[in-house]
Amino acid sequence: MAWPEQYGGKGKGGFFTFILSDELQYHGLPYDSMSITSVGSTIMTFGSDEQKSEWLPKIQAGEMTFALGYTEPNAGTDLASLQTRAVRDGDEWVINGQKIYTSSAHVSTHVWLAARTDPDAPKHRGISTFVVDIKTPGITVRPLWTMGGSRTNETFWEDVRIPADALVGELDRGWYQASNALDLERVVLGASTSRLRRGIEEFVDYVKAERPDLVDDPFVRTSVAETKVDVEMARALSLTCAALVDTGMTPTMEGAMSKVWSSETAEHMYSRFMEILGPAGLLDRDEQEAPLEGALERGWLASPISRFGGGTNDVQRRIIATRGLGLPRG
Amino acid sequence: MRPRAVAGNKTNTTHEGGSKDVDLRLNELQQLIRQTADDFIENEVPSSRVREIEASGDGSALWHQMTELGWPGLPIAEAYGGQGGALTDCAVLVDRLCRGAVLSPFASTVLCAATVQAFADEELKQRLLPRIVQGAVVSAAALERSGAVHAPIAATYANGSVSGEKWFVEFGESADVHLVLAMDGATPGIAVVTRDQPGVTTRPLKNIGAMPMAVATYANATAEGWIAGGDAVAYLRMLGAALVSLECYSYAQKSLDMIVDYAQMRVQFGRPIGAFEAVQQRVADMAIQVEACKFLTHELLWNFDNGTLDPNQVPVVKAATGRMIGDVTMWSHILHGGIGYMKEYDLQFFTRRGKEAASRWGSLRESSNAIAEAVLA
Repeated sequence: MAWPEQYGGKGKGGFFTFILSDELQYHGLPYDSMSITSVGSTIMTFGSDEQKSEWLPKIQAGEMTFALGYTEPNAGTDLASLQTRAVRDGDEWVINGQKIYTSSAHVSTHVWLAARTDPDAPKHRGISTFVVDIKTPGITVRPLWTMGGSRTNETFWEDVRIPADALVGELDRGWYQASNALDLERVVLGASTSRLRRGIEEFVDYVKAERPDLVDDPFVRTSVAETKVDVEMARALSLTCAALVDTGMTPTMEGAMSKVWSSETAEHMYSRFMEILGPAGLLDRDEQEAPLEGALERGWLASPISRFGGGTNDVQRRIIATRGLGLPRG
Repeated sequence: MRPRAVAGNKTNTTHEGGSKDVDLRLNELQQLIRQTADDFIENEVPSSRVREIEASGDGSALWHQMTELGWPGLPIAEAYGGQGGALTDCAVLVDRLCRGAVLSPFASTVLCAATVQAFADEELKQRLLPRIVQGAVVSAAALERSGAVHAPIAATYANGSVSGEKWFVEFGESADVHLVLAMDGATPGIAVVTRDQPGVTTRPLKNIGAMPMAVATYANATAEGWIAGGDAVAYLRMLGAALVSLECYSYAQKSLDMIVDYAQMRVQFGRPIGAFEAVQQRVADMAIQVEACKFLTHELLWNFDNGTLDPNQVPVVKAATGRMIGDVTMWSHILHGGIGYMKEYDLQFFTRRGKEAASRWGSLRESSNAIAEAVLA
């Protein structure tokens, strides 16, 4: 929708994307924003004409979906130290290595892969990005189960041969392209405010219907009010990002702000609501008596992901301080 | 109210014969308890067994082993076959079990045994306490559906039988005996009810921390004893809060220890992540809270032991630990990153168990309101 019309979009811009994704989330519907906003936009910026005309319509149609192949066991926050190798062999690239937390690799058609193409260059300058069909021989996807009950994966890459034109953008410039995608990813991660808004509404409805004794409790009133303020601030930060994307800018600092604030707000919200309900708030999602079908327990257990995922929040704070506010990097 | 001391003064004092002060150092007995517990957990309850017990919900074999070590008798006076330990002695064991993520009814046993010992008549003590020493699991059925500790008690006791429904009964499905809070007319009290009888039915309540909990229904269930009086009920509630506050501290301490270890081992940008200021400051903030809660929880139990309890301090400690545990475990997750979020990694035990402990025996809402009530009175 937000894409330019030449790539099959409607040219609607960042605000529109925000509202669309926000509304879809509010109603609990999926919006594959990672493929569309993050990967799609990067292909649009850095891809060749052939890549754009072949991939973008498929991404738009939902026929091409991406798992992000960045993180490795020894390259997390320090992503630029990634070791997975891509070696040119005739008309092909040969990939060897291991990725971890390749979430949704088991349900995606492709991996957006960052691999080292020049081992001798400084670490940020020898990385390239590739679009890899998940069915390519040599890729093994193994499940990893999380505390929140969701699945992520580790993926093993053994002599995976992909065509030369799977390289996106310039050779060895992948880090800078990935940084762009990551900035956009954070905008996406921050734009979860409707989920938060709905969280408050549902909780308030529950309390009014099932626990009217709590409505006049001063602790409850303060907690709900504080949460409301937090969520409105999250909405403001994510709209700030949308406005900047509309003017053609990459909201590096604002994306980091939005991601930090909304991810921490989510944890605080679920935690506060659990603290209000006491033991009932702890009930498992499978438990029929659980308030809000276990949404509090589920939401709280899921909340760490967005705090450390997409660049951990303390690194985001550093981005805000250095790239945003111009403090020395030290 | 000044609850009676449970087992005399077995804890340290810093000034011999002088005024008593809390001392965090372990005495000889406590050092022995800690060593025994650590050896047992290391050899018998590795994290693989913790996972098995969590999956099956059946920890009876483990409890049997713990009984053979004499642990259920720790809070019980020698006259009833126990070892006459103080609550601060039992606390050492509770702490080590928490750090091992061990799901067991030990804390529940301490709570119930101490209450019975302090408030039951001699005849009931003679009947019940030796059974606990032998491994009978006793569980407090203290909460209404709302989960609020201080909600009016709805269950009734009359002519030796109990009727009503209790929620969030820890180990309620497997416990041999329930201590059921009930009203005898206008008098609150605690009915001692054997679970295995037609009048008692239970169903499980699955929850975030995986501690087995149940809803228990009593339909004219026979009570084999009645401990009358608001003092006993208040004591049970306060000691429940004190023990679960200790659990919060222990889970937080473990969670802190894990990130301190990991931060020294995990290398990013060519050095351990623990060398980065951002990480150090987070860890320091965590440690400040954990340290304060260590003292608060220990001091509270020490005051129980010495008959110097200030009831107004109970919600303060409960709120402090309840607020701290979520913060500390979450920060441990954030600093660990992806690895800490994996189910295979042990950190999740402490996060889930800690969150659960924070809400048991008084939510932050209840504790905060109770503090305000006392402070603004």
